[in-house]
Amino acid sequence: MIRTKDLTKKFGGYVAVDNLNLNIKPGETYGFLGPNGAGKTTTISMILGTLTPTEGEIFLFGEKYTLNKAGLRKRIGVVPDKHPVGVWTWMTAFEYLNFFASIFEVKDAGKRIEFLLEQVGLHEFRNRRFTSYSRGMLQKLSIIRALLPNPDILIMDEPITGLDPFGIKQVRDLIVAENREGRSILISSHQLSEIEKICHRVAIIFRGKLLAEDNMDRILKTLVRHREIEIDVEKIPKTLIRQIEKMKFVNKVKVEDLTLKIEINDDTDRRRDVAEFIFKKGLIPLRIQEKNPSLEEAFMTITNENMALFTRKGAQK
Amino acid sequence: MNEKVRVIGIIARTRIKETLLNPALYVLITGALVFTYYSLVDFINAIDSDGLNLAKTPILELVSGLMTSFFGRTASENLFAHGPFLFTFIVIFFPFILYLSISTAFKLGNEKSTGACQLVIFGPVNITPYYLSFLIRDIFFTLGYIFLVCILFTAGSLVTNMVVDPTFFLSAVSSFFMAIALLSYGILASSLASNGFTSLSIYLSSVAVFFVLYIGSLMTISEYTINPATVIGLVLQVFSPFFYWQASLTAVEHGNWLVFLLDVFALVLITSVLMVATHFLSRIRSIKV
Repeated sequence: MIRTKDLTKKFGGYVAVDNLNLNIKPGETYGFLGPNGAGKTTTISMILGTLTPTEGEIFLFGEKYTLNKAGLRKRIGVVPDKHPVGVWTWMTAFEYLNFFASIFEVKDAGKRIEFLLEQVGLHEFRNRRFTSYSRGMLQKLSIIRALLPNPDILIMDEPITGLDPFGIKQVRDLIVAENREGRSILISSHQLSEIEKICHRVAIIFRGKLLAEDNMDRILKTLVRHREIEIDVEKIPKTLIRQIEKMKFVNKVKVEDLTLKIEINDDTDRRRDVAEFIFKKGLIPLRIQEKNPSLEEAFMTITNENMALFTRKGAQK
Repeated sequence: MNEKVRVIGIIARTRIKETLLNPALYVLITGALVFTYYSLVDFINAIDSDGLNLAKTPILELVSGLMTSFFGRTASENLFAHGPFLFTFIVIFFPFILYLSISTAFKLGNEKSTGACQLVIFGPVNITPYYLSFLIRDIFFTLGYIFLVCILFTAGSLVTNMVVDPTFFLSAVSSFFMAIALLSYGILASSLASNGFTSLSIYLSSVAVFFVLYIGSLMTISEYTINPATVIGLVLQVFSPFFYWQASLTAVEHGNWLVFLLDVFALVLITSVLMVATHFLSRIRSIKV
């Protein structure tokens, strides 16, 4: 769908994007993660043709993309992170969508607009000026605008930022529904919990470099080094903590009320080992659970490691 | 139909609708009507047995005084020599062009900074058609305004029995091309800026420079000395729409049609160069997503 090859963007001496190789496959929801200033928006700008790459290539739908091939962009729907404020103030939501439908040559535009407005619950507000819409309504309107030409891929920049929990759920459901229809979706975000819920694959970018690109499970398994087992017991003798800490696969043990939080330093499922050990000590485990690693932890691990790497390089110089 | 032409048409139609919905347009037209009425009435009142006596009407005397102090006595007298129409036209035409060009420079810059422009160029076209749609809007309204003024003056002529000099229509033609060149500067300014206020500042600064040079060129200078300032002034004048407009008015005055056509051609050339420069600048300069 979208592929970048050694994509680089320099602003003077500053390298904003450094030899980036991304590959977004048909039908997948792809998360593009990175902290502020990582190069996400610069990369998207180059894909969308509003910024010219310093080096490297972009392939859209198998074709090498250049500024002269603007027609290829017709197959991409874009939901930017901000909404135009103070412009087109005279337009109703319907007129706004109709304007874009004309530009994108949408067939049966009226019917399509009505259908999409109905889908997201904005139909009854279609004749209201869109500038009076709330943030959540604007976000939904923006998604409808992007979906009007029935694009092959939807690029969304921070799609849930600023939304209330109800709005977040509505937008998330809409993304999932669109993906089920077979549409590829690229989500650029720093809202890791949301990315985790809806993305099949994730790319993590930091200081312009691609640190990881894989499916969610593998990213989590590879990057979260310290897994954790939580065990509730009826009482916790002080000696028990020291004894558990001596087990070779245990990094450290924390206690919260009657819960033991045991940090494991390998990839094996150690719940049985820990439970048997506790039994042998005459105690009964009331609940035992391996805590699932979160994308947030993976993200922190990967960026912190890189931070350390950069710092060491800096120190050597 | 060519994709770019199609998109330019769609955006330009929206722009025209947007301008028609703006009350400022009607305020300017009303102001023009009122000024034309008083200008014609005052001009008639200023005519006595000795000819035109501007001292008889305070408003025309004031305007004439201002014109003389700004542009010199000859320019002021020439302006009134052909009746009230050319003078009235210039007074009501400039505010309208200033409004259109300020609106173009500010809106384009603003639409870039708020992300509105990006929503369109994420589509099937690059940014040049977006700029061109503003030029189309400006051409539409400038032509419409000149047409309206011509009808108004013809009606005024029939009512007052004052003849609209045929040279007025030629002046209107060169004024149209001068206006389009000025408006193109507004578009170029927006391609250099990343927001509305910067764009407007760049545009107004360039117009102010051209205006000062224009006034300077009309002043009578007894001794002409060459120094760096005059050289820079002369070079800048080459890019000034006012310079060719003034030259075209003088050519009309002297019946020199070839020079008139060359001046109009120069104005068209400036517009074309500015639009080409806008196109290349927008390719070089990035637009924030």
